[in-house]
Amino acid sequence: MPQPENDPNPILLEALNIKKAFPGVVALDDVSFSVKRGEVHGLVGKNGAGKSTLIKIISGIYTPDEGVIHYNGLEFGSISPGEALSLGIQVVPQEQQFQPYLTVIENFFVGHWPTTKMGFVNTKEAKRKTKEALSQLDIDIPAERLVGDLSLVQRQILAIAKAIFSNAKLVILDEPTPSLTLSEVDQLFGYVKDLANKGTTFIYISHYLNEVFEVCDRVSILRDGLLVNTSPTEDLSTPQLVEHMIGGTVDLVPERTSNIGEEVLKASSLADHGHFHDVNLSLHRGEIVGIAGLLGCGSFELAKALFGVIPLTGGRIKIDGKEVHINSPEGAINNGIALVPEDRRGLGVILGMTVEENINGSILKRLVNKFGLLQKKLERERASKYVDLLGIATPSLNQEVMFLSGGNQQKVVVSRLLNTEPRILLMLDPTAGIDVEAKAEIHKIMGQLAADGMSILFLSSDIDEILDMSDRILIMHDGMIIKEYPRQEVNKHQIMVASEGFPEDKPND
Amino acid sequence: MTDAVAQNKSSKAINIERRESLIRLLSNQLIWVVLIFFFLVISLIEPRFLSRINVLNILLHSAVLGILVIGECFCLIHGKFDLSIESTLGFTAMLGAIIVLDLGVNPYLAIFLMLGVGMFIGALNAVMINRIKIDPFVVTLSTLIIFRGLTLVISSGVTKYDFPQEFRIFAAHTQNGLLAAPVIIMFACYIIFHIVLSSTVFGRQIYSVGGNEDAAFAAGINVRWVSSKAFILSGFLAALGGIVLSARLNSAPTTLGEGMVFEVFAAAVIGGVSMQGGRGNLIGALGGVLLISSIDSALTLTRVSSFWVETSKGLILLAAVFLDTLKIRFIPLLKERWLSEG
Repeated sequence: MPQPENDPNPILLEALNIKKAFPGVVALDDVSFSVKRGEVHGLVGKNGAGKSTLIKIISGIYTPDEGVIHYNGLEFGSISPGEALSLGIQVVPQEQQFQPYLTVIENFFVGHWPTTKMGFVNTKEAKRKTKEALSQLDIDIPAERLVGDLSLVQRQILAIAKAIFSNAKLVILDEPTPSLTLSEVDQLFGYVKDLANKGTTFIYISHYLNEVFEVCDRVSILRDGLLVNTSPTEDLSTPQLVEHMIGGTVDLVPERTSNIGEEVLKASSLADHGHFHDVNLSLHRGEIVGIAGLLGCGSFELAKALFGVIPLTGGRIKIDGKEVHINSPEGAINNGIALVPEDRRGLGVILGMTVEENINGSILKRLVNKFGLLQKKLERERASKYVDLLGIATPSLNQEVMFLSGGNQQKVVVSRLLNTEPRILLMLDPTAGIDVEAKAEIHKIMGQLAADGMSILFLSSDIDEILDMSDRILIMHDGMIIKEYPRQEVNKHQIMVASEGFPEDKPND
Repeated sequence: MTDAVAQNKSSKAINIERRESLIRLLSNQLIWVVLIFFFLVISLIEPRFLSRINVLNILLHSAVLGILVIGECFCLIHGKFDLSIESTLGFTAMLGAIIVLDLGVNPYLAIFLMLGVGMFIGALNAVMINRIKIDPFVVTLSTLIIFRGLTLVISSGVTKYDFPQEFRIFAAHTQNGLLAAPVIIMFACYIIFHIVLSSTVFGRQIYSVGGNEDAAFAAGINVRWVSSKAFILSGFLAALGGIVLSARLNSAPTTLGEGMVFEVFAAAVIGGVSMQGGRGNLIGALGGVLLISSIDSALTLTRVSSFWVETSKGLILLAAVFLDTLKIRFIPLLKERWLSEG
């Protein structure tokens, strides 16, 4: 780990005996946390473990009740947001705060444009500085490009670059990867490691434990407001890490015996406007099929077309041997197809409505009496059935969904879909952004559903999840399904290679 | 978790739920508290305010506004809005007057035609908003202007008056004024559409679309059709308002209903219907309607300059929107706090 010669102290930030309580809950209890110069320091823990509270204290949004913070040899009782900025502490949030219709240059200088003597905006100067910064950081993004035209990973990298451009010494990455593809994650990690070698320090927050092992030098684990462990990542194994996080063990791969029956769905030569073509697909009773592929491979669009969100331009879909025409989600639901969308908050739940209203949202027409009035009792029964079945942690059925955790929101989505009594469940990235325990629960639910005869087609950017859960694995590339592997006959590397579209790597054909 | 802990937790949950529903009830129906307070204060200043005749007058003045507000609520709660209602009202009333008075069409048939034209205008808005996907503001602003213009075109700018008896039944009232057709129609509409909004599939879909249009679509709701039905309903109720208003005035001037849309919005928002969609109900909206009409009446009775009438309505609207914003931000915060309390 290289250090600036003039500063012998290897510790950049040290938060000592931090305590922070909110009315009724101690968010952080006597937490001591330190970050070395030039390291990538992972921070993990379940939702509610205190990660974001700690980050907000470091970045000056919260004032700690007790404890001190040492930063770069200075001591603080608390840091103000302004101080954090001038000290070079910057948080790169999950969702980038860029203006899509402005160029990279304009985004870099929003709020502090260089001006000419006359008081006009000095675009030349801005352009020069931006290009200089980008080239110094080895970023290959044209400065004149609109940010809206950049890929997600480019925006993520740009966000880090912007932080460093405005003199950040300590960059806090808050869940940077959920929307990135594997190769993009690699690209991001390469960039982060490179900058760390040049002396920038990172705190890295993620639910993806494999990422933590890949990119972090050390990792700190929070549980229920306590810092339970800080270790170099090479001294930890994934099970150990999980055990620290949840204070017990969790089984991400549920015990299940596949009980595969007759063919339920058969799709042939499916195509749409430009996302996928010539797709043949079959799905059997009780089968879990996973589709792996890079972002933009067309798999999400394929699932959405099966659910009637995206119109098909060709091909036929048969369910139980009968041809069906699906051109709306309503039609798909009536044909026994349900879809767990990738964007839970945007597409899955209505945040301002209650658990009960959400769970019954897709089957209202089945809950009316002969006068067309909704029967409250039936609604209640249905909702409480699924709350019990999936173990949704909610104080009541009348709780608005916005107050539930991500994992519980996802269970509400699954409840709403199961409530339609589907036979085919399409799941898009079903465990993205939820913590490890909730992930295990979702996996368990998937296993149970398949055991009860549900056919599940799921897409995931997490290859481990695909390997763990699928009976059959399909690889999609450039709008086509290019490979198919039975479970157990493929490894992670083969999937990654195949996803990139190299057909020559075929060990089992 | 032991039983005792579970017990404890659920009783805490129930407690929170009670507190929350109380706060929600209070904030959703705050308008009724305000209304009662307003009545008390004004009646102390001016005892005639609470006289039977004045209260009946307030109700009579509320009727048309109240009918329009219902349609607007369906539009607002599903996340859009309809500016065109006052022109729909004026146009259908003028059209009815012309076909009855000048063309000699049977008045009953004319009423059906007027309601049909109202629904047609609503459908026109709906097609442009939901099929062609033009912004509701632009679409309904255009139809607001277009149908006011067409009202002038078909009437050549001349006021029509003196309707046949069949028509004026919509403004009929008993000798003592206790029962008046417009008021009865308004209350009937509120009862029917309150049930529609709160207890039917369509009503729930209105809230779902307003809460999150994309999620509603993914949940299998035919979002375009739900939205279109709301606009058609809005047009229908505007036409009904036109019938009642022209019957009451026994005439159809070219300016009938002009400027009403602002009062409609004000009443809905004051009554707790959120401009951001997904929130509100007709009981609150009715409260908003009554408050707006009461202010009119109170300021007239206390001989406040009519210039102040408009100003005060604007101020109340602003206060209502302020409360709405506060509610959206404040209740979740409050609840999070309760939930985090041990």
